[in-house]
Amino acid sequence: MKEAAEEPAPSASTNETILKEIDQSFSLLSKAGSSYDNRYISKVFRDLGPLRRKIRAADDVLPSVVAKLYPSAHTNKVYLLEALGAEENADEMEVDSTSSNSVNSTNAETPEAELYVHLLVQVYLLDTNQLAKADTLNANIIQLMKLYNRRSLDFIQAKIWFFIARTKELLGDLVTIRPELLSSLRTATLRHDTETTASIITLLLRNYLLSHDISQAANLVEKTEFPENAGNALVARYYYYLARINSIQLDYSTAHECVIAAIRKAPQTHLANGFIQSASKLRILIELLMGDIPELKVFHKQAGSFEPYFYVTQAVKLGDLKLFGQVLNKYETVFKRDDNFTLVSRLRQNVIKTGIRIISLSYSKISLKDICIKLHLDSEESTEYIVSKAIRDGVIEATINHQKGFMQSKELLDVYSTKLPQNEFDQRIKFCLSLHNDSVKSMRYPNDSDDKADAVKNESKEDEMDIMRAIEEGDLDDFLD
Amino acid sequence: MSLQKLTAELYSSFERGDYSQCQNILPPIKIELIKHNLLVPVASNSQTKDQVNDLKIAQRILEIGALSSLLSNNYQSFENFVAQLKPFYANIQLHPSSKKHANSDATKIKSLYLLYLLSQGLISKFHTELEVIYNSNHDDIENDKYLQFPINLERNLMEGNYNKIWKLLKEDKNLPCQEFAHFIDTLIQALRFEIAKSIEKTYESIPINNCKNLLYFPQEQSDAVFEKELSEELEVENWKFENGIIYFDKNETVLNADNSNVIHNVLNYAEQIDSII
Repeated sequence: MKEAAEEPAPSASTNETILKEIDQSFSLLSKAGSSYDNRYISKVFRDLGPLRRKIRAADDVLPSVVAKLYPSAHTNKVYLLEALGAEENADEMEVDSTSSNSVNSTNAETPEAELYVHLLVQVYLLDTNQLAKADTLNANIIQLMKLYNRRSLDFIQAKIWFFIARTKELLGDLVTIRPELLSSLRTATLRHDTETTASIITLLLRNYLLSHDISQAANLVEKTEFPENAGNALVARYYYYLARINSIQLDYSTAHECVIAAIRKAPQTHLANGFIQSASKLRILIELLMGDIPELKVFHKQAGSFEPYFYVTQAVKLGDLKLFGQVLNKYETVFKRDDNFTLVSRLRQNVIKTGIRIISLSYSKISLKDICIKLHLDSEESTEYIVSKAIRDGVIEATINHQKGFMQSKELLDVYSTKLPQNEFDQRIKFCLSLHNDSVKSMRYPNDSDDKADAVKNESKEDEMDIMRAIEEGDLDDFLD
Repeated sequence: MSLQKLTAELYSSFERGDYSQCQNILPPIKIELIKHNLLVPVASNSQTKDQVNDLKIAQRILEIGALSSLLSNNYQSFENFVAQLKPFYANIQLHPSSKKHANSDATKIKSLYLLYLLSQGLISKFHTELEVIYNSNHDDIENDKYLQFPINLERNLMEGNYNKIWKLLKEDKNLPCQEFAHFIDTLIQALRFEIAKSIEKTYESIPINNCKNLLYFPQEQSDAVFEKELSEELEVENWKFENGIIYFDKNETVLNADNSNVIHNVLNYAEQIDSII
């Protein structure tokens, strides 16, 4: 999670600017509600990040926002204020805000604004670490969300679910939220609410993976269909989880595709650094497990603790079992923290295989006994089995002469006399073509009706620009780990 | 019959080793368990001490169910019981996460399940299970003789260190408990299958006697019996037996460029590029 810079002590003027900002958001939200254009909401969310930091620094803003939303007594108001710990002066607040409220009376109590305020309170509680309060509030919010069925709420709901799941995760309670998530996943899917569907699928996957319930996660992936046009950030997350599941189930090539997709789709801002780091770590391990050695620049490029992964790579590259054992011992805690320990411990066989490969490349004929000594294996008999397995797995091209006890490497085959280069070439051309097709498909064209209403267009031009920017940047916000 | 009586009967027949009787008692017991809401531990039925004790008994019943199904070769029902036991093992009230314990009945069941997956060749499921065990708070893998066994077995199998596995399987005293002996035959079968697959890729020819050695067949077995066993159980093809030597017929797949395929591809590209222009 990003850390906010320390804000100066809240003064009356900052409070007012915050209120103004929230007011603006309200008007955008009501526009979104009336015009069914979710791009307005993207714009609101673009400002959420800075706003969130400001609200955290200014404790007394939210009660007045709540009071403005619900001018008269309202059940929702009661629990919102309770959550904020501002019950006693609620009446006074109400009087204060009636004047301003009459000005913006159109904004109040649209479902969009209502949920938005709930979101703000929720985020505030989360930021100030009042988890228990956030948890009780969440129960209320879930009930509230069930009342509405409006497409303009999709984005807000997706965001709210994210924070609900995050609260539960921080509380260490992963199981109780699952039924709610699953039932709302069903509702969202039935309503074709792509944003919420995508968000909840990633949340559920995260939940399962945190409790290491891989089979559940795999089942979920199998049974659900991830919406195609979900936000990039969500897609990246989804692919990352897929990569994790597949790598544990030993399907390394699929896992590799997924992790590459995750890294490419992830937003290239500093907010997503943590995500890219853990995805890159996973990628390094998957590549090692596939028998490839990651390039050196992968380790140089990134900040963060890549040292253990570098040493593991080194051990695998050298085919040195001893070194591998040492690295594994030394960095066990790091790997466990990254949830990669089981994957790393699987690498042992790859270390042996690369060892055999190096030997096979350097000698055209070598006795099994020498291999045994070089690789620190237990006995000559085991060596014969291990080498023979390596031949079967296609690690090396060789034969063993059992009677005389040596391994003979085969002459290298000329790849250009085979179909392989042709296949490789074919794959790349297909990739380029599909890239071209995809980019054509995803281009956005302006509506014809916009041309006719020139006046309207000029007026809303600025608006439009803002929104386009919001779409570009908006979904980069709140990028977890 | 009441639950108490049935449970007592189940315990005694399990002690006696009368597994078919156990199988007969289990269905009515399960129905009783459902009636008392004890078959699935949830937050609502694991609050008081009495409830927890009841659940512990239910867990024991299911464990007996799993073991007796296994020992009477009913693998499907073994798998079902293991699936039913999982929520019990994950329950915090029943298995407090504060202390690690090794060599318990829980780990015994888990490692038997791992062994079962291994003997069936379900490696990806094996790793899925392992992932849960590695990350759970109450399994002390390093010191657990039950869990160590399947984990070592899988590691050696992947490395191709068949020699070690053979030694591990061959001596009864290496087995952590009697139930493990049940899988020995299937595992040896699986082991020989793996070795045979490696052999046919590795050697051009090999004397029959050496081959027997590699596959851990007894030396005194006659060549005819050996050949028969090979073709029936290990599904070997292309093995030719001549004068005491086995020759492996390698039909190398021809990787030469396939012209019609190339033409097909090129036409396809032309079509695509045409649509772009």
